[in-house]
Amino acid sequence: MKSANKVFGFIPTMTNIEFLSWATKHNGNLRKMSGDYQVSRQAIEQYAKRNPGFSPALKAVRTAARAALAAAKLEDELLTRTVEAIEAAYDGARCPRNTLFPREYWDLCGEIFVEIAKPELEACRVGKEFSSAIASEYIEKLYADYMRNGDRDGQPIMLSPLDLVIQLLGNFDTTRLLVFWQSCHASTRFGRRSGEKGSFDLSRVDHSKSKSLLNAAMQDPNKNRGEAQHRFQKCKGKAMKSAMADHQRAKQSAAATEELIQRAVDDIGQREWQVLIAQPAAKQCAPLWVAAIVANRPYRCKYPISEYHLVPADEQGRIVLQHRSAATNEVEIAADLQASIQANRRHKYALLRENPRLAQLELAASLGVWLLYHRHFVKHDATCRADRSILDGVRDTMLVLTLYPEKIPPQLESVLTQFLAIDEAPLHVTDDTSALTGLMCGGRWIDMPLPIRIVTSTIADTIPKDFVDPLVEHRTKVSDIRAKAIARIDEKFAVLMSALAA
Amino acid sequence: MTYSTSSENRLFALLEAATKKLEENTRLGKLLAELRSEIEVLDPESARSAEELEEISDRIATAMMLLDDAFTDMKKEG
Repeated sequence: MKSANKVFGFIPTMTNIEFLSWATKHNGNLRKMSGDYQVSRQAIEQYAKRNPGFSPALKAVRTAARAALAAAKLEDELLTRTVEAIEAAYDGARCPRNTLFPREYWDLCGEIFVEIAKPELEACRVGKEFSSAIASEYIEKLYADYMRNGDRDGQPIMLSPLDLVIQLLGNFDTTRLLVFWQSCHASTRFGRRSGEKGSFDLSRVDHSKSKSLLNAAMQDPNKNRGEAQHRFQKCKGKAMKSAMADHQRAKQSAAATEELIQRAVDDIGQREWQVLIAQPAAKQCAPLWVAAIVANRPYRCKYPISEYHLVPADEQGRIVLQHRSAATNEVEIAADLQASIQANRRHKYALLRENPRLAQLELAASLGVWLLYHRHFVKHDATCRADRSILDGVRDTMLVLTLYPEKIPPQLESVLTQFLAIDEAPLHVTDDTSALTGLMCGGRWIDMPLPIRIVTSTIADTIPKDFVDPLVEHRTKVSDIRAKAIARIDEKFAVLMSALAA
Repeated sequence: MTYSTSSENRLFALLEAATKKLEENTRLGKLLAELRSEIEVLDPESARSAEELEEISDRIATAMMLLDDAFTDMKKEG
C-alpha cells in the first residue's frame, strides 16, 4: 500500500529558530517548503508534530502570512479606488493625486462627526473607540463612494464633505457605520498613512504584536541566540493565541455579512428573498443592505413581506421598504426635501460661524466640488460645453486654491459665499441661483444650465489672473537654497584642494 | 648622510603632522563629496507638497550645519 507519508528526502534536525525561519521563508506554505528537502507535505506536518512547539509556530506563520495578504489586498483596493475616483474627477496628471481636499479639512469633519454623533456612537457600542481619525476615514470613504456612484440616476452629488457630515448626522445610519467598523477590524491595517498621528493602524492589535515578536525571534539568532530563543518561547504561547484569536475575528466578521443575509432568507423565505432582491431598486445596492432592511421592516408581524416593495428613499440611492397601501405623495416628499435642505443649511451655517478656519476650508472645498460637478455636467450638456473653455483657463488656479484656502482673494470669497451656500440667506426655489444654492446643500439635481453658466463665468472672472501658485513660489525658494548650498560646498572644496596642493 | 637624534625627531614630528593634516583634509574632502551628492539628490521640482519642500529645505540646512561644524573643528585644531 502506498504510504501517504512517503518521504523522498529527509528533513535535517533543526532548532526551533531554524524551523521558524524555514517556515517564514515560505510563508508557511507546505508545498513550497516540501521542495526544499524533497519531502511530502504530510512529512513536514508530522515533523512539526514530533517536535514540541513547531506545530503552533507553523500555524502562527501561516496566520501572519494570511493576515498580511488580506491587509495588502485591502490597501490595494483602497488605493485603486481613490486613484480611480480622483482620475475620474480630474482629468490629467497635473492634478494632485493624494487628496481632493486638505487633510486638515477631513480631520475637522471627523471631529465634528464624533462630537455631534456621540450618543449614536455610544448606542452602537463603538463610542470611545471610534476616534475622530477613524471618523474622518469613514467620511472620506463614503465621499469617495458618492463621487464614484453618484445618485440613483448616476448624476454626481453636489455635496462637500461637510455637507455629507451634516446629512449623516441628520440621518444617522447605524448599519453602514457598523459595516465600515467591521471592515476596519477585518483588516490588519487600516490607515491612510502608516505612522501618521491618529491614523487607525491595526498593527497595534495583538496579532501584529505577535508578528513583531516572531520577527524579533528570528533576528540574527547567532548573534543573540539566548534572547531569540527566549522570545520564541514567549511568543509561542501568548502571541500564537492572539494571532489565532485575530484570525477568528477576521473570519467571523466576514461571516457576519453572510449570516445577516442568511437570517433574512430564513426570516422571509427563499422565494420572497429572491423576489425582493430582483426588484429594480434592490439591484442598486448590496444584498447586505436589503438584508438589513428586511431585519428592520416596519409592522414585521402584521404584514407579509410580499406586501412591501422597495423604493428609493433619497438622492444617495438608499432604498426603503414601502407598504403597497402607502400612497406616494409627491408634494409631501418635495416639501420634506426642501425642509431638510433648509435644516441642513442652518446646521452648516451654525458650524461655520463657530469655527472660522472651517469656514475658510469649506469655501475652498466648495470650489473643488464645483470643479468636479462642472466637469461632469459639461460632458452631458451641450449648452454648457462652451463653458468648458472658460473653466479650463482657470482650472489649475482653482485646484491650487482648494488646497490653499487662505489664498482665496476676498472678492472670490464673497462670490463663493453667495453662490455656494455658505451664508444664512433664506432659500427661494423660484430663483435660479438660489435653487443652485439648494443643490449645493444636497438638493436633488434639476436641469439648470443657466445658473451653472452664471456661476462658472462669475468664478472664472473673479479668479485673479496673476495668481501665483504658492507651491511654485516655495519650490523656487528651495531651489535657490539648494543651488547656494552646492555653490558653498564647491567653494570649500576649492579651498581644501588649494591647501592640499600647498 | 647622517642625522642627529634631535633632527630625526623633528623630521618625524613634521612628517606625522603632515600625515595628520592630509588625513584630516581627505576626511573633509570625503565629507564634502558626500554632502554634495546628498544635496544633489534632493529635487525640489519633484516635490508635490509644501511638506515635502519643507523636508528638503530641512535636509539642506542640516547638511550645511555639518559642513560648518567640520570646518570649525578644523580651524580649532589649527
